[in-house]
Amino acid sequence: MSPFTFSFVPRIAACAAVVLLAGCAGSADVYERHVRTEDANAADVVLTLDVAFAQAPDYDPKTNVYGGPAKPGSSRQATPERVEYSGYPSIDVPFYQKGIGFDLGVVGDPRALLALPYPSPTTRTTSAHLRIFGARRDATHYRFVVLPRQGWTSYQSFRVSFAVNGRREGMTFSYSDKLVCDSAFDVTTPTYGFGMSVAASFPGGKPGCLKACDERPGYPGYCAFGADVASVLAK
Amino acid sequence: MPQSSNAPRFSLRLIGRCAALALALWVPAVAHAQPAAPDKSYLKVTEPLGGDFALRGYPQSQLREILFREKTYRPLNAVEFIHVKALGPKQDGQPILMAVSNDFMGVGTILIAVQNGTPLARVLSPTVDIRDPDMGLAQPGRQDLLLFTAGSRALVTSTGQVLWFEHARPKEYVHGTPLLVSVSPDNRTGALLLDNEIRLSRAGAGAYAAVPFTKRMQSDAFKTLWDESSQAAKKALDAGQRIDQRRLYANLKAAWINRNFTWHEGQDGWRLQGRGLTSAPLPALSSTTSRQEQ
Repeated sequence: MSPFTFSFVPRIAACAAVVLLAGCAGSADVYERHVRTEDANAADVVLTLDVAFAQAPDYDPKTNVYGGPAKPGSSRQATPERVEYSGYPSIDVPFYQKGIGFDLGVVGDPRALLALPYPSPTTRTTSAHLRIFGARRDATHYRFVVLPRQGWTSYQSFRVSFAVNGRREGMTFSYSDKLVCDSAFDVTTPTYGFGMSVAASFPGGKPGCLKACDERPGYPGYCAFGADVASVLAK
Repeated sequence: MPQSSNAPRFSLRLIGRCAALALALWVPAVAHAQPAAPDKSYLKVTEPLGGDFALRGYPQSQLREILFREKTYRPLNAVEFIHVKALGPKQDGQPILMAVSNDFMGVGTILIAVQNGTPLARVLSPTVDIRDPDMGLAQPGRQDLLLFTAGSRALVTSTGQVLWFEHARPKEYVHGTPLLVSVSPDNRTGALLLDNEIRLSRAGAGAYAAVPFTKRMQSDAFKTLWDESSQAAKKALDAGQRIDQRRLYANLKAAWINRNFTWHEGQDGWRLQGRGLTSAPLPALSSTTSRQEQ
């Protein structure tokens, strides 16, 4: 077996696997998906973030349950049960999915009834979020975990969202488990200048890298263009 | 003999003229033959800004990108800036920058400082206005303090410190928009102009005292300032410029308060005095009076 075929066969297999796995583009979430750090499965954890806030963030936890089985005597249909939390610090983790979608092309003139519509494959990117609520140690110390989402790819960034006396604030971070840097540091938030000191640890005590980044206004959890860990460390 | 000597002299003169003519014709040809310096004005140029920061943009354009270690840095995802200036102080060995973004994808006036090796931006003024950008108001009597009145923020230019002052107490509803009008000499306390009073607020601790500078006193004091700002806006419009008259009026109010009120340090924090008024501690917040009556 020549080295050419040796390298070529796995490549074709990889290509075929990619083609098979690239399904149709997933649909974006209708509702935010909420998880509590306490309920997270320890085997899934991608990153654990310990935060010490300089000023105690607002803590007024609320749990709302929506949907559930149909009630007897009620006209409401049975829907999947959905739990949302609010009122205390959380992290917002964005994900994306690339898949194949179809655009409808038209050959011919639609006015002359001679048009032939045809589907043309394109790549589609859809995004989804996961909101993970922190575990409270004391008034200023919180622990968060970053979790993956089945079938979605992470942007490897997240935003710690909290409020102090009703002033909502957020700080965005990017991380990488491939690169190594000092992942414990102090940072000042962009809007109101609240201080916070963060320390990230990766599963199994492996080294990794956490960096603060500028946010993209209107896109919670996304770093500004070119502010991911790989680009920042390459500088 | 003169005849014989004249002929060669004439021919010599003719040759001289021909040579001069030929030279005159030839010189531009030589100039054309040399490759002219190409016009490079369509290329972006990079100019250093201090530290690892640089600016890049077309020479004929006002717009500049910010480079950090030769890569484009996009503070809050903004790309182009109409004004970037390095303030004197440094953080993490890198200069602190004040920048005003272009209106496309704009974020207003921001401060860029390097924290832990990463440049991070902070909003100073959310005003997105490239005709009359908000460059802050230098507080009268202070050399190193810029007030950004509408967002309750101030910038200490000698240290690069951004100050923000909270005007409302916890769970209190305050009618109207606060204006940061003055900062105490130690930069720890700010005076915020509200509809019916001036509140004093400590950084990180919140509002603690108020000067009863009521609505009526404010309308009497600020009447001339409104006329002044409207005259300035009219004059600017006649000169073909557009200015933000609302912000000019707010800045004039802040300057007026600084001229008429003075800071005094007491045992329970800074007090603001002037116009026969002095600051008094805010009454204890009870659940029934949490909604401020105006």
